[in-house]
Amino acid sequence: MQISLTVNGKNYQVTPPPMKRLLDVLREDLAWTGTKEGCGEGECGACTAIMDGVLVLTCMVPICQAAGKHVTTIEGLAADGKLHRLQQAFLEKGGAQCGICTPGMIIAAAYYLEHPDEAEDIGEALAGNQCRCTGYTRIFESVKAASSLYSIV
Amino acid sequence: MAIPGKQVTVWGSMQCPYYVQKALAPLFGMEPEQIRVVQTETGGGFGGKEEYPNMIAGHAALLSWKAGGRAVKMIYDRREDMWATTKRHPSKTRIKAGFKRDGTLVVLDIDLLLDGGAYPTLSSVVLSRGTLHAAGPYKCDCTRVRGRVVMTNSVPYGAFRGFGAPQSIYAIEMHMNRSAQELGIDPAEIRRRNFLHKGDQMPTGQVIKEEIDLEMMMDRALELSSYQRKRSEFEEFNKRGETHRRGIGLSVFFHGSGFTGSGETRIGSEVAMRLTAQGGVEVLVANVEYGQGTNTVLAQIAAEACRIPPDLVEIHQPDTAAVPNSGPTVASRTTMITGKLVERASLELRKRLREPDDFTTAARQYLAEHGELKVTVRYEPSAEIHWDDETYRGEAYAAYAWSCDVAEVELDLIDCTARATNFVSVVECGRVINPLLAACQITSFPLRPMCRRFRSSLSSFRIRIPVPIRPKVSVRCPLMGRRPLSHRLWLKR
Repeated sequence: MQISLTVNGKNYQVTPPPMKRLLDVLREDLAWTGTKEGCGEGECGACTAIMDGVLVLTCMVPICQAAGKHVTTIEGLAADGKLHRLQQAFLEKGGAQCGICTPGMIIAAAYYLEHPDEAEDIGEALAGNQCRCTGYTRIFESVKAASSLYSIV
Repeated sequence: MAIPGKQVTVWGSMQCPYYVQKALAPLFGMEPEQIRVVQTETGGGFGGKEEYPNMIAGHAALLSWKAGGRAVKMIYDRREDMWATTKRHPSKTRIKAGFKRDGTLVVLDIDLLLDGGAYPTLSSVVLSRGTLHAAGPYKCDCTRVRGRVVMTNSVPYGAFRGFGAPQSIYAIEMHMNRSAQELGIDPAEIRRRNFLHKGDQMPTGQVIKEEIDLEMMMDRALELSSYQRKRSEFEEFNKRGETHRRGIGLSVFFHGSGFTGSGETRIGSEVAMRLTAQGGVEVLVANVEYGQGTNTVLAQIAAEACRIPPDLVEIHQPDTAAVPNSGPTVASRTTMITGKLVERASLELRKRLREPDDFTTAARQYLAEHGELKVTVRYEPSAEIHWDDETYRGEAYAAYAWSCDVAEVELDLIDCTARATNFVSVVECGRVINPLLAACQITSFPLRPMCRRFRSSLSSFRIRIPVPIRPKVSVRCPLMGRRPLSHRLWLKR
């Protein structure tokens, strides 16, 4: 089955089995390894990416559903050699420790910054993303810092 | 990848590459040098990747051997991971204590029992740390601690953040609370009357040589949490008999840094450093970065000791073919032990370059004239530290961290949930190398056992968080017991 999809602005033609997970296609076939696998069963949010403007768990998306779609992963956030403001905030505020949840966390937070009306607060926006290192507090601080930066700009 | 008799190479997520090498050598009947172990990005560690990667590496290497040397990759899915890898030891502790009427502790008899699961793993070492932390930060001249670990038909238990100490600390702290209740003394007061001070002896005979002011730490924690006011407020609130109950409690504890007793002497860690073509240095250690900041802290230490900017410091990937054995990345030892060795190696490099004002230029000059410069330093046991494994007497740990935590909880009697509504932690952690990373560790430490998800805001040493402990959580850790916390509380009411 030939499938074309766009990842971080680049077009790809792949021929995986139709039920192969988008996560595996990203990591194995296309070498976008920024997206991580945590639980592999849709619970932890480590594999979060944005597909056609919607937040998805890539371990729960068979590649056949991604045909013709635009996928943005953590690698697609930084532009012109400059970190995304969320990435900068995570760096400065200690929002990242071991790094496994971080890509999904930042993608979900980026989605929240773009769509602030869809969640009541940062806690709800990141409710689908689990972290075992930080205790979340510094993640929330990082997102808060990035969002205040956003409102000034 | 395994080609028997020739070479075995393992890449993996692990905390201790040299442990894996040591485990694989007898498995293949080869010399340790023929086994190459490379740490790849580890993700989180928390002790779960201390010793268990030996098993996974062994299985993968054997499969590769069977497949004639072809590369084999092993990944556990979530369920396999839960079945096979190590968890924290469940524990049961019985404590008998004798107090004078004024709350002075005179006798302490502790019996600590750990569930070791079906395999030996690191149970004996976990038990050792649990035993050494069992008496808490209290002065008692007549203490007996009995520690046992028993084999059961359960999943394997092993290293996990705190390594046996949290189980013991929970027990002694609960016992202090109950004793306070029996004696009609405030829980903070009974602790204050028994704190260890400089010059006091711990149960192993270790005399505390550092200045430690637990009274001051506890006062600060009580002040930050408005402990006294809230205690009476909550008592009033609970009397009203609404659907919620509120409580506030505290704990005081110490934690030994580095390996227990003569562990560091036995490991004899080695650290190497060499000059780079850019005029900087490369640090060669087997200690692993898994989010706790190893690479940042070691780079900071090397940069400061060599007097160069931190971006001229490179840290080599932990790879047994390239780095010396600087010991495992466990037991809060990396900054303390490896960090000190990095400092010594840096100073040695400076000495070889004849204490230059401009390290970078001198390093480039040296490389052009003489070729490579690499120094290796080895851990030297301090003459002041003696430990006897037979009698369990002596200096159990070279240094201790001290802490006082105050937690507030709110119970919802209708939906069976508990929320931590405030948390204050005052920590004496010695000399901090990187304030941000240290704060990250301290804030995450109390939150981990309390929650899976919550909403929060906090400043570094003061945490205010409503934490829903979901009734479904049934983690086998001493803070919660085998049954979910909320269920237990419900039944007790």
